[in-house]
Amino acid sequence: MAHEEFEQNVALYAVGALEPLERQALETHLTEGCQLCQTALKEYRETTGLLPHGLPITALPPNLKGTIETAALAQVLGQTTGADADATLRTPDSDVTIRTPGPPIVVPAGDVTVRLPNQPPGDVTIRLPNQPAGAPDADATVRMPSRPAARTAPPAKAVPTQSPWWAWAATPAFAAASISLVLGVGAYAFFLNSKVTLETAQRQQAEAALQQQTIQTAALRQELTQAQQELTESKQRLSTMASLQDTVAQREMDLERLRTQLAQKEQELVGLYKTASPKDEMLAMLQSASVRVFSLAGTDAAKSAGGLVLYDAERGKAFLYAFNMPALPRGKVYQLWTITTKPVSAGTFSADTGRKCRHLAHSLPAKSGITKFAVSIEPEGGKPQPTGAIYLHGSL
Amino acid sequence: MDLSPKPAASGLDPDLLARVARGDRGAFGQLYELSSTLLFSLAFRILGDRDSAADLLQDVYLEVWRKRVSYDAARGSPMAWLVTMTRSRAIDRLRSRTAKGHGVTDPIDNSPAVQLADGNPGPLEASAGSETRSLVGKALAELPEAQRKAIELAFYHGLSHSEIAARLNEPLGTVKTRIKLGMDKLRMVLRSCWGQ
Repeated sequence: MAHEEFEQNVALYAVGALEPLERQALETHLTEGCQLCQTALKEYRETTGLLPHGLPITALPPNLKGTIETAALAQVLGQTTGADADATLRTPDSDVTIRTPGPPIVVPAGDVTVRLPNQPPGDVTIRLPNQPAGAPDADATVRMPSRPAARTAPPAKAVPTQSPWWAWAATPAFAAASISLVLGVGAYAFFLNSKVTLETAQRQQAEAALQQQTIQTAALRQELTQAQQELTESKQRLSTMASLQDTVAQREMDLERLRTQLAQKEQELVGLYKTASPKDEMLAMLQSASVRVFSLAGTDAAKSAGGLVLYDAERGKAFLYAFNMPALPRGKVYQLWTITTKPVSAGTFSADTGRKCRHLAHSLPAKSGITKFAVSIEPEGGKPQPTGAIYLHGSL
Repeated sequence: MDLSPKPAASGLDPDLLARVARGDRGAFGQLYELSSTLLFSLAFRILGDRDSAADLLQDVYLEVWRKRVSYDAARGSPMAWLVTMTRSRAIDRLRSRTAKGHGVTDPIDNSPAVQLADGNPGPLEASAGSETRSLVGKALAELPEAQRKAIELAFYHGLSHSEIAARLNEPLGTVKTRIKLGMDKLRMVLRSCWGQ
């Protein structure tokens, strides 16, 4: 295929519109190093990279970041399912003296196997620094299998590329998970044990951070639950308050009603007091020491009538009680008279049911020396002097 | 609260990806903040539901984190690389879903790709990225309808040019030409937005 045809297809390749065969052909052309096509592809890719900016923005799920970061952290902690690989490193035929912070250790000649868990496919380079003076650093390359391999997989051979492998402080270039050593050399165990301790500490630190985050999440969740409960309680309180307000309004209405009733009753009481006073006055007068009793007898005009007068000279009051009084014609009233030298009106009154009469006379002249009481029948409104028939009269 | 403006999503710093590659968790979080809204919108556009889009995004970010895929600055900007990878993974899923016989919504009548920002912009929108959005929206809107539709069917629905031709009942050559012309125009108009 001519270059021009490939160039035509680069734009379609960038948007993913090529058929599989065309795609493969173009990819081959690109890997063969066509600069023009590579540049064109780069530019088309920049263009397609901008296309999503023309999309409506879709809100991210709020927990997505946390999920992804947790998964990433889990990988740091070596919890993924990579392949284990054994790397066997050959020591020189002669023994090696290893420098340690303590006394030097002599390592006998032989093979050392390093187990590397959870390795992704690819090469791992182990740098062996601190060679004896004058010797360069040594690199040992271990090829990891491309598929997860069982621990029984044949160990990959690693051969020092530059100098004999006697480093005591090998530092694997990968910073992944823990390394365990399966070896018969105590000194390596010492070094690698330190390494494992360091890695374990780092892992523990990461785990502690994770745990801390988990605790914080739990605390936040608890706070949320608590806030929700408080909200529910507040809502309940609010509804209780609303019903209390109703009750208060109801009570206020009741109170108002009762006040009205009270005012009414007070008025009734005043009225009652006014109407009931003659009887009460009579009782009060009976208890008074200064009261005198006048007995009244019916005259010829009212033979069956009778009565009595309680006269309190000190207070100038008189209470009349009469019975069997003749019926009053329309337009007529009874009038009570006090007589000293001449009759003086003590008020008018009418008959109760059963032809009984009760009448209280206020404001009589005090200590006026009344000697007689009389009741006559008079026109409505009364008269200054008796004009009608006398029905009752009596003296001390 | 950080009030400093975030860089536009299209202007990811290649150094940020280098730090992620070194296992810098802070850089990883930053990468997510700067790119996730755009990538999620893309994944959602292709897959059509939020759960699948979220699942896909998790895979993409973990691939970057694990260095299963590595960024090569010589082949383009970091954002173009992330978009290409997300689009490619999403189309793979779409195809496997179609192969399993799940229904696929009609890509033409559903949610057009050309749609300017709605009334509810996210933090990405509030940043300098909105200028890019506006330019891209304008460039797409100015494209002839037939060219834009062909590009959308390829990019968002994973259809090859012959599949597009069959779907639109157009000659094969016409579809290829439309895509090429449309892409050339976009490439020219959006040149100013590259590598921001």
